[in-house]
Amino acid sequence: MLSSTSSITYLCEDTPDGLLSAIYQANADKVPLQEIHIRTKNQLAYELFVEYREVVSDYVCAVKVMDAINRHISRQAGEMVYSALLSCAEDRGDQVLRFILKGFRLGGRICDMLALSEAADLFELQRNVNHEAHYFREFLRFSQSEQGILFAQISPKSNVLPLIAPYFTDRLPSENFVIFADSYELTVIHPADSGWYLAPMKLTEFQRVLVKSMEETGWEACFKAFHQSIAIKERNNPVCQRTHLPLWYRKHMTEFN
Amino acid sequence: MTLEEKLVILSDAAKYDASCTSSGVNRKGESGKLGNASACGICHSFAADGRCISLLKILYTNECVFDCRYCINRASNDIPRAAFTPEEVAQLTIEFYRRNYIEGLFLSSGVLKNPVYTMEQIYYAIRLLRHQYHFNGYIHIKVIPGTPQELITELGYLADRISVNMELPTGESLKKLCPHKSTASILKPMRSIQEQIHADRFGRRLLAGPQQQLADPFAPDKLLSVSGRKHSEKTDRALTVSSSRPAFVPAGQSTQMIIGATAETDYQILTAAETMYHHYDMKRVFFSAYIGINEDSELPEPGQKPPLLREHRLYQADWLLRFYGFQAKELLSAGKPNFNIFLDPKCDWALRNLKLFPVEITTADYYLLLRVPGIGVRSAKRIIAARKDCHLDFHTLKRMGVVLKRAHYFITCKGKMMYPVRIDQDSITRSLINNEHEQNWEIAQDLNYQQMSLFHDYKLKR
Repeated sequence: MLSSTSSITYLCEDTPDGLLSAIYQANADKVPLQEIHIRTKNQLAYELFVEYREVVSDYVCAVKVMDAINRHISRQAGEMVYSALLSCAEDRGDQVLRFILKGFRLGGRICDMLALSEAADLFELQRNVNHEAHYFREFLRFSQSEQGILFAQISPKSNVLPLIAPYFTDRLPSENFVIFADSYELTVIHPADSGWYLAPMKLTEFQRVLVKSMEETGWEACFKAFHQSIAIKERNNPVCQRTHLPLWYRKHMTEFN
Repeated sequence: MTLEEKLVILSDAAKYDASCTSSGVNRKGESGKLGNASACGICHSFAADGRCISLLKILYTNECVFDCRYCINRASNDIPRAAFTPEEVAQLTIEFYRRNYIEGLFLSSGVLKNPVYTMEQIYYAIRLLRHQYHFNGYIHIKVIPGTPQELITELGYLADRISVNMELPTGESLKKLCPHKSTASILKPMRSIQEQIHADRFGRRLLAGPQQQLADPFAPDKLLSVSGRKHSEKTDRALTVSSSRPAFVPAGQSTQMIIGATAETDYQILTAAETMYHHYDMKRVFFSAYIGINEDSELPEPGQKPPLLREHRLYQADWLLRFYGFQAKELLSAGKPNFNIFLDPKCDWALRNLKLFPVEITTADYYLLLRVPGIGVRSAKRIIAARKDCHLDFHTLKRMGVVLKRAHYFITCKGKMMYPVRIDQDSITRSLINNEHEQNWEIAQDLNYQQMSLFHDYKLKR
């Protein structure tokens, strides 16, 4: 589409830090809001008559933006923004920027003002991300490697890893585990009795390093058998099953493989 | 017999238990232990029947000296029997839990030798799991009527939830179908669990000292007082516990009854459930549509469709009792003892009380908003929060999660309805039924799409 007015697109890395840096830069440049777009480099389709400005991810700028949100809007807004930035929506940067600028004027109450399009859009964005994160808390499946490391592969649409990592750390504090998101080529690594961290990893690397142990098939067979026998034949209802557990999530689940 | 074979027999025998929730308690993980618990409950999978799999639902053994008519495991049935050892139960739970297959254990059992012996075995299994394997996840135990008080107390400090099945809605049915159980033997453990929970919570509050309670405008006890229910203790809110100071049954107790095996009306069933909530502080009452497995003169014939729509309506009403401030006698009465098969209980109630509607969204209080069909707890809270600072319209309500296809007959926004609707019982009923018809039919017919076949469907022979 040709845009009649000159517009500016900020190009950044596909991480919360990258997006926040772009937001910082856009705000510093004092360009009218209607003309700004924030896009990540990997999702971009170039357009004519658009000025592209590349933004280098800057941790300090990102922290400044988050600090400003926490201080001038509210902590709840900070959490909402962070979740929204993990979404896979192309225009999440724009939505967050519009929300922040409105929020600086209105303060913390903006989070409840769902009649405003800025608040409602961001609310929907973060709700989708949080729902997806919750699905993966439920449907993620670990396997055990020969060395006793638990590892799981998921294919999330949003980058849910930072949201689910604290949950699994609390749940399995004394286990070594690795969660690999193949759609982001990113892993959470948690060594037993310590914190977790994120690291980039390729699929081939993940498959080479972590191999199921011999006993694993036994437990998998047990769970598959349990999954079959716990269902009541007379109540068979695949539509209901699909509503609660969409086919898309079943890709890496033990009982459906 | 391998572990897998045992698991198949004993989970197959446990599948008729309706409850599979892991909710009601918050517990943080601890270094050196395995697991945590979250009050919202977490489902880990869904079986082919669409029911959630949250807990490893198994029987300790399916051998049983009782002879309840409806039960697959009754003494007079000839079925393969098996029993776990405490070690096997613990090992299965731990290995499943580590792989994130389950949220915890739900251990029930047939009666092996006698109730005391069986419950002791269960106690050994749970103690092993908690103390030897350091399992910190959710545990739900089913108590068999006839278990001594001391054993229940011991179990209560190890488990998160304890339940005693009431089996059937009335005492007469129970006498008819369960020769080895009696109303007294079921209510006694329920009462003792309730009393111990109260004592435990009271003690915890004393230890915690005087605390400034934050005013919660949507507090459940406030909600329930609206409907006239006297709420004695604050046991409704989820408890946060740590394993260093265990609480007695922190997630509360639950129960279940079978629907459709006996002749009770929905009104009797719902009243029984309400009694359980009011007088026994149940967290949940589960309904289980009767599935004919045994041939018996006292029971409906095997092979009949389970009453799924009826069960669905009862659960809808159960939600209205627990979260919306309704009472059983508002929804049903002796003159109208069964639910409308075409309309959900809330719509049905609203249509009989049209004098209260339409409700003005911008001014109505929380409790009135909750009574509008199509508005739930979450959307009601969002409406209250949003209308403080901005103007609402129908488009916004839709984005907030209000189901306008039902709600628009009953609400006005800034004095206007969404469409011109005649506030007339018959016409609204007709429009609402058109909306819901297809869905209800699917539930009732247990419908799953399949390819039509001339030979099969019309019983023609090739």
